[in-house]
Amino acid sequence: MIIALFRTILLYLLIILGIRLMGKKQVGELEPTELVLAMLVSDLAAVPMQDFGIPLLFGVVPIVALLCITMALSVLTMRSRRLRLLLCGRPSILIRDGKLLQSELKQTRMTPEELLEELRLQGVTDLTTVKYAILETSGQLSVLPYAREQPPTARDLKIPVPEPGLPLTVVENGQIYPENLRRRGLDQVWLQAELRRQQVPLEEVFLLTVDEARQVYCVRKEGTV
Amino acid sequence: MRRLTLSLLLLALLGLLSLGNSALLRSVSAQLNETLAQAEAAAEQGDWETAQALTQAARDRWEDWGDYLYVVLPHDYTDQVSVHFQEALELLQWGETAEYAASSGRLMAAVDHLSEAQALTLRNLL
Repeated sequence: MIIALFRTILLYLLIILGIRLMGKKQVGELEPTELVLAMLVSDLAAVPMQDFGIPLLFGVVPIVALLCITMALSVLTMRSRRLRLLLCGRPSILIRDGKLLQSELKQTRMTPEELLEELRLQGVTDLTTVKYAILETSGQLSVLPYAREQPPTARDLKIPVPEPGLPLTVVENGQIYPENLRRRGLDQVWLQAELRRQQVPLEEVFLLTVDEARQVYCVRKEGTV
Repeated sequence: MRRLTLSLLLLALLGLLSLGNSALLRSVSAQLNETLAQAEAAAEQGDWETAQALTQAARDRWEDWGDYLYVVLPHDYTDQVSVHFQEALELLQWGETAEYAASSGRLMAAVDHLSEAQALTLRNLL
């Protein structure tokens, strides 16, 4: 068991190193520590699941060890910038002020074709419209177009618009969420009145949300009148 | 900070329990092999009854630890030891000196292997 524990720690660190060396592109949407955890935990759980000759502890101990290490690393990376840089790396600016930074592309081992593909996925086909393109540590590409390329906002047009509220679910599938009612400063009396106004009995409500402006969105269950 | 402390404590606890398990396995293996060695010595002297009693005592002790060992060791290892015990006892009944010596050797090696395979050594780690 002690061997399983030590091997888990060694392999975990080794895989983190491997992921870091591979680069951001390959990591996808997860941080390296998260990706390694996801990869290892499922395999570790599968081993004693399939082979009954292997004690459950041989899966449980490594999994618990991995979770502890990941938790510890996530707290430490939050506190230490240096450790965060070591484990997660730093974002790479691939396009700055509309100019493709070839050295950064080379360093991230990303080809221009791959970059264009990522830009297309974000709806960008014209490189000259991009002020910044940043390859984040998670492997995702953030694209910041020039201000002139962005659609005007209500503020630009000096048009006053009401603030959107945050809808909270108050009723779901006929069930009331009293804490959300309270958060909106409402009560059951208001709810009953609103349901009468909507002409929907409680048991027929699929979804009812309320935002800060008391804007109500109500959906009746399918198959009811 | 609490999460960090809890994680590190849990990790340390796992480490301690694992080391404790290794130490326990070493102790159990050593005790079993000591008894088996005495049984082998008795058989060499021609005292089959003593040899059989000692081997049976070792087997009883093995079975006392059975549940725990099946939880912490691969079942292949533990099954192997059980089979070797049976083999040794059968050979003792028939008084087969050479075969018993070989079987006893295999049994003791298998018992040794239980603790050796779980010891924190470079060989096991790599």
